[in-house]
Amino acid sequence: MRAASSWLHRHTTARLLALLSLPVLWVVVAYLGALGAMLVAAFWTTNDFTGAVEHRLTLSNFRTLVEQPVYRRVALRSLGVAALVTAVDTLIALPMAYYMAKVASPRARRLLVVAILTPLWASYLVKAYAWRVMLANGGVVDWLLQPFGTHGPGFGLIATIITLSYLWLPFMVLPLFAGLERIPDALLEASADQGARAARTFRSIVLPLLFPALVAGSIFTFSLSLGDYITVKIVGGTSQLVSNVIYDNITTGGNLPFAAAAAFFPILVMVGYLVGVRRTGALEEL
Amino acid sequence: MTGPVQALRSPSGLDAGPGVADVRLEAVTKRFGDVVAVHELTLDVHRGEFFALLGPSGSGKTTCLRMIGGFERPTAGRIWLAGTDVTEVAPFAREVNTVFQDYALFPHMTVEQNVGYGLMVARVPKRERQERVEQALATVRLNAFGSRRPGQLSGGQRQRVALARALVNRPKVLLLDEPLGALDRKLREQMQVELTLLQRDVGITFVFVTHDQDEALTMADRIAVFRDGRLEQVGTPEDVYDRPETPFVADFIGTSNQAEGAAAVAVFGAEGHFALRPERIRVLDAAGAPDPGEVATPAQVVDVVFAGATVRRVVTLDAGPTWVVTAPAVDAAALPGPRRGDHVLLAWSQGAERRLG
Repeated sequence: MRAASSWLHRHTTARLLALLSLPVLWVVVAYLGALGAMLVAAFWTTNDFTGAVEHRLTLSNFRTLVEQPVYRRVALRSLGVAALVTAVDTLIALPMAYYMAKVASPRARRLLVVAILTPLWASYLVKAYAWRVMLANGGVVDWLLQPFGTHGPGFGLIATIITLSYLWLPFMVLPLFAGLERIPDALLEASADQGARAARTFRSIVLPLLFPALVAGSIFTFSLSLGDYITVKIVGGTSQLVSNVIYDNITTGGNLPFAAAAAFFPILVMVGYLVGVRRTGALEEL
Repeated sequence: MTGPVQALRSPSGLDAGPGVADVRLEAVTKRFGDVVAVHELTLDVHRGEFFALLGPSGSGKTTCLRMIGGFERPTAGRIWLAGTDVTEVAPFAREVNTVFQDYALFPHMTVEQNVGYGLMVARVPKRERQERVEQALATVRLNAFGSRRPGQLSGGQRQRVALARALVNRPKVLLLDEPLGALDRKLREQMQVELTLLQRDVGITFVFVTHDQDEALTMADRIAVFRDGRLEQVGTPEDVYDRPETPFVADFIGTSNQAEGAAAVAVFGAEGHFALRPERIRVLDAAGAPDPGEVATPAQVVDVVFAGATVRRVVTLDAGPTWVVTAPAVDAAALPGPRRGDHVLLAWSQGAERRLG
């Protein structure tokens, strides 16, 4: 044991190999391998009669996706849902995270972090079905809104946005909380000292410094919403999102190449989003 | 610090006269839960004064400063700024500015944007804003650094930016929270001088918090000595050094040789609690004779410490207490005078001692 340790101490390359071989193997074979296989499959096609996958390169899947108006609508709808979920989560998470990071006592802060994390332990399906029950005709939401002379949204895109916002909220609260904790109180006091009211301090000091955390949170909420197909099945009524197209083509459609091609869309959107964020330069400044 | 300071001169500084209270704390108490940070404290800071709040950590001096700035609300009592009760006024509406302990510069803004932030918030027109920012940066000799970010500056430079950011708003009172605490010794001594000159030039009332008695003695017109949330003594540096009113002040400001009870009777010939500064004492041979008008007491040298400019001798009086005696190191190499173990006679002018409390 001791001899092995000294040998590793002298041979730095071997030490590095020993440390990294397993994770590298995992990343290359399991992670990138699966992704690569899927991307290659997108350029294959299926035999119209037998449904068997034909291994010959073609762009026909992508042509169908671009040319058929229904897929364009589904893509825009998915983007819209993901963007709205991100916006809703940001609006809810900001004051919550601010209270946790800057106002609450250390004890209350710990309790709140636990409270935020606890729902993550519950099954995703259970939470989605809970919302189905609440949003159902004559459910809790209808009952709550009845005194105001209105009723709940029923199943559909709004129900999907509400449910997804609920599901992904912790992924926005936690980065914002961490980001706010890193902003020293003295900076907020300095801003007030310079004559700035709360709104100005928020706009000129907190928001710019919180930008990386906002980006981190939005990457979670946005990509998770873009990839979701279960919630929309449970509370979305007849609405279809990109991931439903992928799912249906794999299961009922039996068209794996087309599903793989459709999977390019969320990947391209996320790459585009990350490049856009990088372009703003706000990430390097901090 | 020289530069176009005229532009920074506070309007209130022009009609400055002695005896006008610019900051007044009236029976102010601040409690944090069960802890009393400041206890029924009353204090006047005069217009145009360089005023130091001095005390060990936890003595309530920073809490006082934060209450003047509006960052803490007093549990009881009133705070006045230039004759107006501001106890309930929010920080952004007070005509004071603060230089924070760690400067609290906005990391995502350039030096110029940091200094111009208050003017931007106050909707000062862009042209005037640029001029005033330039003047403020000139005053702290940082013109060339306007487009840098705080992260690219040294500690001393950051300190100057914080100073410029506070002064550019022409506040009635400038609050400084341990302004030199984060600087190394050489830079600190240099900034002490610069701050004093700057304060004289701009004529704004400075209130600064420090735990460093040298800093307070060097810079302040008057010093308030804090202990456990109460004031021990308020006075000029000469007052608190030469005429301490309590044993704590005598001990906290500089070094004091103290004697009480039987020792006081033996050494000073009277009951009570006495303090005597180390530099007021001469060390004579055991057989030596004190000058007329001097008082003397026998002692034995315990240790001799060479401290650069001075030689410090620790002595034990025959009457009991252990004292320190300092003398200028005339010839450092030779370390003249009594050595460890020698019996000596300590002598001082009659009345050099101070009766406490």
